Amino acid sequence: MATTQMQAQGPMGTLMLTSLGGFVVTLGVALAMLMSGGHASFNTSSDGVNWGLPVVAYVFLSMTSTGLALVAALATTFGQKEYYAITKRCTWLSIATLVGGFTSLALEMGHPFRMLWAIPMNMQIVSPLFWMGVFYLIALVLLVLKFQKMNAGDWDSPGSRMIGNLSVVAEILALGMLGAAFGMMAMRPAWYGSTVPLSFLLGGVTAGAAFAVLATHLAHGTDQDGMPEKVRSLLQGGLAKLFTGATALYLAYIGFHTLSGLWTNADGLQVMDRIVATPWFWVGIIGLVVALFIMLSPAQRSNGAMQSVASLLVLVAVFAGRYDYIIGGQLVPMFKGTWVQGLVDYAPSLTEWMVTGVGIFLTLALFALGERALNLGASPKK
Amino acid sequence: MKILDAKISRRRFLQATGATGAAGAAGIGAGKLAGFNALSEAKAAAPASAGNTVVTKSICAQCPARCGIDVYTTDGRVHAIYGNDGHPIANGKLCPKGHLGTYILYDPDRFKGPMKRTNSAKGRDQDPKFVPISWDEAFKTVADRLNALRDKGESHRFALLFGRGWGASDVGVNIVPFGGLYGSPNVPIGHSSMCSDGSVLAKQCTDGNASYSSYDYRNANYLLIFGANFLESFRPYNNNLQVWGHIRGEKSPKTRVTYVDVHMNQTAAASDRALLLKPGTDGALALAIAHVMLTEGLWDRNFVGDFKDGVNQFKSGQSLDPASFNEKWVKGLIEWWNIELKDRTPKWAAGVTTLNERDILATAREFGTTRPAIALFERGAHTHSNGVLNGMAIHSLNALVGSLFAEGGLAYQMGPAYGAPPAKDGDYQDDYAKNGPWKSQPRIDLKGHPDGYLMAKNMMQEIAKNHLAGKPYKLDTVMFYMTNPVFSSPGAKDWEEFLKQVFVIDTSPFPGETAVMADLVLPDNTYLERWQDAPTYPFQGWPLAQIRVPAIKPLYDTKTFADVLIGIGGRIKGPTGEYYKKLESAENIVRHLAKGFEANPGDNGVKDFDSWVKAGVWYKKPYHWRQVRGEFFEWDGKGWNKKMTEAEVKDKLLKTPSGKFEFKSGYLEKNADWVASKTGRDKAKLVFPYWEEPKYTGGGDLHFVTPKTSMHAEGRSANIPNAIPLQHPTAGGRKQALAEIHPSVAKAKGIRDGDRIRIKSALGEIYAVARVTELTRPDTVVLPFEFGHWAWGRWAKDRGSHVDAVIANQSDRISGMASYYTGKVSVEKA
Amino acid sequence: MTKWAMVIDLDKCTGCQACSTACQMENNRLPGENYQDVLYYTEGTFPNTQLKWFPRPCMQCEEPSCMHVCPTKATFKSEDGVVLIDWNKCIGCKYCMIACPYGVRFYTDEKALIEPNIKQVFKGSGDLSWNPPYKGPQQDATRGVGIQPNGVVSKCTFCYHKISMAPKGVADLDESIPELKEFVPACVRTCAPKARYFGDLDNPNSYVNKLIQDKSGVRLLDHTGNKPQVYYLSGGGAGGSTVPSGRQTVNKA
Repeated sequence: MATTQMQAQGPMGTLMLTSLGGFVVTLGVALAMLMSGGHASFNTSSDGVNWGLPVVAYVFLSMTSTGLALVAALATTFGQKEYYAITKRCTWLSIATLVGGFTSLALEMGHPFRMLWAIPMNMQIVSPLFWMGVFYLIALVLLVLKFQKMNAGDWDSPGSRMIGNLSVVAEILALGMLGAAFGMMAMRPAWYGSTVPLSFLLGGVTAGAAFAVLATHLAHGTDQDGMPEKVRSLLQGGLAKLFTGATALYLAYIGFHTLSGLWTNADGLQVMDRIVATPWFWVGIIGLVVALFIMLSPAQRSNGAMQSVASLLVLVAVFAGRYDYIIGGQLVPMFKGTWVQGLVDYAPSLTEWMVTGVGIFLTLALFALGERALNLGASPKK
Repeated sequence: MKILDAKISRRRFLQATGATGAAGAAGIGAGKLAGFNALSEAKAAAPASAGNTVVTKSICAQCPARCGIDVYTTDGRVHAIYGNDGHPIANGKLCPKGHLGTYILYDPDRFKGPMKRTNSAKGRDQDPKFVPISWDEAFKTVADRLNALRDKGESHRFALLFGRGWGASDVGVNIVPFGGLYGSPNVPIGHSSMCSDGSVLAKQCTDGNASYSSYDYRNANYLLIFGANFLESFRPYNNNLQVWGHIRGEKSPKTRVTYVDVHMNQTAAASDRALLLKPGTDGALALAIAHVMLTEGLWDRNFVGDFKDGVNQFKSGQSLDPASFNEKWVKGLIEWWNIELKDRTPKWAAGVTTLNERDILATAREFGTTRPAIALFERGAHTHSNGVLNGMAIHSLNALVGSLFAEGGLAYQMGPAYGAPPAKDGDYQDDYAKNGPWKSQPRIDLKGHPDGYLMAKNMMQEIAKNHLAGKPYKLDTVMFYMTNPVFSSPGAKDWEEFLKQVFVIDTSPFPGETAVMADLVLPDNTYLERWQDAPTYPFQGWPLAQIRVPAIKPLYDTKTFADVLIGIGGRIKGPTGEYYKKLESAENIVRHLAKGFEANPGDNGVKDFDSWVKAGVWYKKPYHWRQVRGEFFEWDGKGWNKKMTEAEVKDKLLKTPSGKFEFKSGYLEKNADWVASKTGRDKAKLVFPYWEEPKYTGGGDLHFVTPKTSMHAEGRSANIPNAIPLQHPTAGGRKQALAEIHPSVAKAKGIRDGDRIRIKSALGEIYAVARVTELTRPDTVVLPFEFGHWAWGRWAKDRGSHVDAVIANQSDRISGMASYYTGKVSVEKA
Repeated sequence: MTKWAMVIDLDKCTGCQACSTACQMENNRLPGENYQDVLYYTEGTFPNTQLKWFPRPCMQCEEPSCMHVCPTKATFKSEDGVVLIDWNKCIGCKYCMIACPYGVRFYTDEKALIEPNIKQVFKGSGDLSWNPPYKGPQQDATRGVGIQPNGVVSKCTFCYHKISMAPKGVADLDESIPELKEFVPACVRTCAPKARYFGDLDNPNSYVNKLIQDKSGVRLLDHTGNKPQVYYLSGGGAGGSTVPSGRQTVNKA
């Protein structure tokens, strides 16, 4: 089975330069800070926010990874053949976001290398983090295998299909577990809930679709008329619908989540008042509304530039949403009495921003590298 | 710390490294090892896993309570301190300060050995440029100065100021004889007027005992506490906490407690009733309680006496015939009623104190009907211009309920059965000591002088002022032991000027404000490194004495203050030198004191030096006297069986001119002319506990109260990083103490919680961080003292607010007690 | 089996913080990071201000959520019922800190509350993140005892280096018994008002069991299901009014 060669026409060169440059700079600064001050250069603390911005970055990137894997699976698993146009790219991006996410997590952890042997050696099967790790590892391996198959032109042999199917299952389970890692925390009511994994999946699909839209435009340029037909029709058809629908659902979720937080008097939810008073929150909400407006307006949704803007807005919104959720769940002090007055004050430190930057720039750099070396625009010939 | 950057000799360096472990070798070549830094920061050797742990008996030094402690040392490292479970005050327990000892011992800012100043310019910002000297040179320098003064007939111009004075010998050597032998009225001058002399004088004026009381809390059913923060700072703190657990959680019936203070604190919160009154008005509340007890007939007739016809004739506002009442162990009740008490109704007191009349009445009725009851008070009530009057009024309540010397009441402390010291100072006085010109000189603080404070015990806070004015004269050389008035005295700024003009010898092991101004630093050992004895602070009456055994050899080239004084004394010309040579050392003194136990073995079997060292404490129960239903009895070896005559009671217990508890104070009567002339008080009234408005200083619109909190380890906490976050827990002061400000004040001044604020008085201004809280009164700012040092170590320096910089140097004319809590300030957003 | 438990009588607690300072001395804690805290709360308006406090060690839960979330089993429950951390297995993910309902866990590498940072004054090396001259002799990384290495989480161990040496079968570790005092956790040993008791929940003769019965001991946030082994007493009186420990009556099988 042959593959279609397709030259990228988007600003991939610029992306390559900026992402590699950004990666090197953020990694350099982050490592320098961590070498000299350790995690004391984070603004996290035992008294307040234990998991800071790098964990938000990890969660955001992992969610996006699952979302991308699901977008890829629309063709490989669910038979929506038009998605083949972006399947290879999305599979690669799913790998890239996962690697980026894990990198920022590793820089956040005390002993990331110890994790490599300590988790498998001890088999703590009641920890959601254990299963999250297991499923993400499986997902990563399967995604790489699947990508390899696609790269070799094997798009839907039974073996390839099986690998693809399993990788999607692993991704869903992994992100579900990540959601459960928060949702199971009954001691943190702002996080608690059995449907949290579902909301993570919804956020994942939204971010995944958004990233797919953005990446496709980055790869092919914003002029949709110059795109290959299959790609253009996907961007104006199925993917646009998926993206719009997911964004609408996600906005509804954020709205109801916020509303119930504001309405309830339950301990821990008082943090919602603080959250809605931050600009971040409104950046997210307005971004979602504007993106929806763009995508629902027939004149604009077929405009590549506008689609790109919408997807970027949605990505920022999902990131902000994860920030509000993860940080917000930690702002009510855990039995600190007068030591912590009111809610915890937290703003990420420079090092935390750098670690976040490492994850995001690494993802983008891998994307750019993949685009250059791995022919991500390929699709089955038939 | 740049200003005290002194070099260190190689010998001292090696000694220090031997003590703290293997020091980094980099320091040696650098040649810039300072007295303050580098050494103890050197990496300490990892402890051996299975070391030999030695437990040494010692005495805590973080408050005057003198708890016996067990000091745990493993492989030369002191790593834990717990209460000595054989010690009657500690009972194996400690207060929060007790555990801080290791941080004090290993304070990286400690002085490492004696040093002299080489920069003749003095001041806050002047680097003294200390250089290390030998102890021999140090002693010689001081002795030469003192000998020269004596030769000129000016020995009175040497003063030795001490802080935590625990009686005659508890600095390791009795420092009193030095003054008499050398010839200076200013050796020593204690800090008691900046501590708690208000209560001492209040008691002297009423029951004739110039002392703090011992208390039998465990048997009391009611405690009425005025400004003595029982659960945060009142001593013996550790034992108070134990008492609290007993009387509130174990004892049947549970003891009821009413607590009086100016802001909500732990004691107020834990009590049954908190009365948060206007600062300085405690006396008004006590007078109203007395008024109710009399009008409602709640006084103890066995102790106080009764109307001749047995019918209560006390009616508000109505005078009585003194002859109508038979007084038993009290004097002047009806006169007091007529001149003062009859008008002191709860309604009146409510107006003065801002309390609710209902609560005053309820308190009086409870206190008057629940026996045994104790009314106790300390600094909160008496650090005001009217302090002794407040104290007398409160202490009078004890007479009204008959709790003096009673079970469940209060009494006074007996001394230990010590042996004779190695030498008797009387045998070593030369002619100069007996008849030298110093004999006619007043004390520099004008204590006991009609121009100063005739009735006071000490007047340390007056020294700087008097010296600067040259009245009565100027000092030449001043030595400090465990006191740092340039930081802690009201009007502290005067002291900086004073210390510039005199030769200053500091003995603190820590780089305090005095050291910055010092010409000579002779660093003391910390308490875990020295020999010392200490008779008990007033506790439960029966005698008790504890011993401090070094848990570890001095880490550095420092010396126990007792040995410093002996070293200097031994170099004073004439018989004084002989006396100090005979004393030999602190350890020798302690050995001699222990000989007294041979004839009087303690209840715990301590009968000599060795058994004392092993147990850490000698004590002998019981307290020898007891008042039961208006009769006094003495211990006869088996019980309180020997009934005492009035003369015996006067001699041993109620040491007033009348031998009674005097509502009409004979002691004040004797000095009435002087008091009237100095205070403008009505001569007829001033002998009674009566209400006088406190004279608030500073000129602001808010009272400024600076309480001691539970973590105040005799001033040391400011440089203990582990103590700082716990210093002001009720308000959440994590990095420093916070200024408690009522929301109404905050609103009026536009101050938000956490804002930096300026606190201003007539003396100047300080900065603080505001805690907007309902803990404090709307008319009061509360800011615990401790911080605001401009020296004192890396963690203390420039942290928090120096409260004493804005508190005026005003004292109660009778007790000489500095009016620390009487200042007024204004606040604004900084 | 032994199941060590602590009982804290709130009627006796004076809020003095000696438990906290004893803890920091015994366990070489950093300033402001004691394994055991007393927490203060202010309510009401002047002059009816209420000041309250609450002494809070690690609850050493029967069902410790911190243990269940730990992906490496670094947090574990000892045979005698104490929640410990094996620093050699801890990966510093801090999930246990997230999952602890009581806020009693500490990560080694954080900004110093009090500057200058004491860790820089008394520098450590190797497995000791700092090394003060007053460090205690105990050091057992596999149980989270001693001074922390970098990058791990630590917590109250009930002074495991002390209680684990206690004679077997003792019902209560009572500091007033001279033979037992060295085995008593620092906070219990020093508590001056004797508001703290330490004993074996599995021993029917223990005083802690009697106190829990007589004074209706309750557990903090019992609804989380963590089942603390620290019980609080307040209000006194058998069967008197008290805070129910949960909304459901649970019968032990």
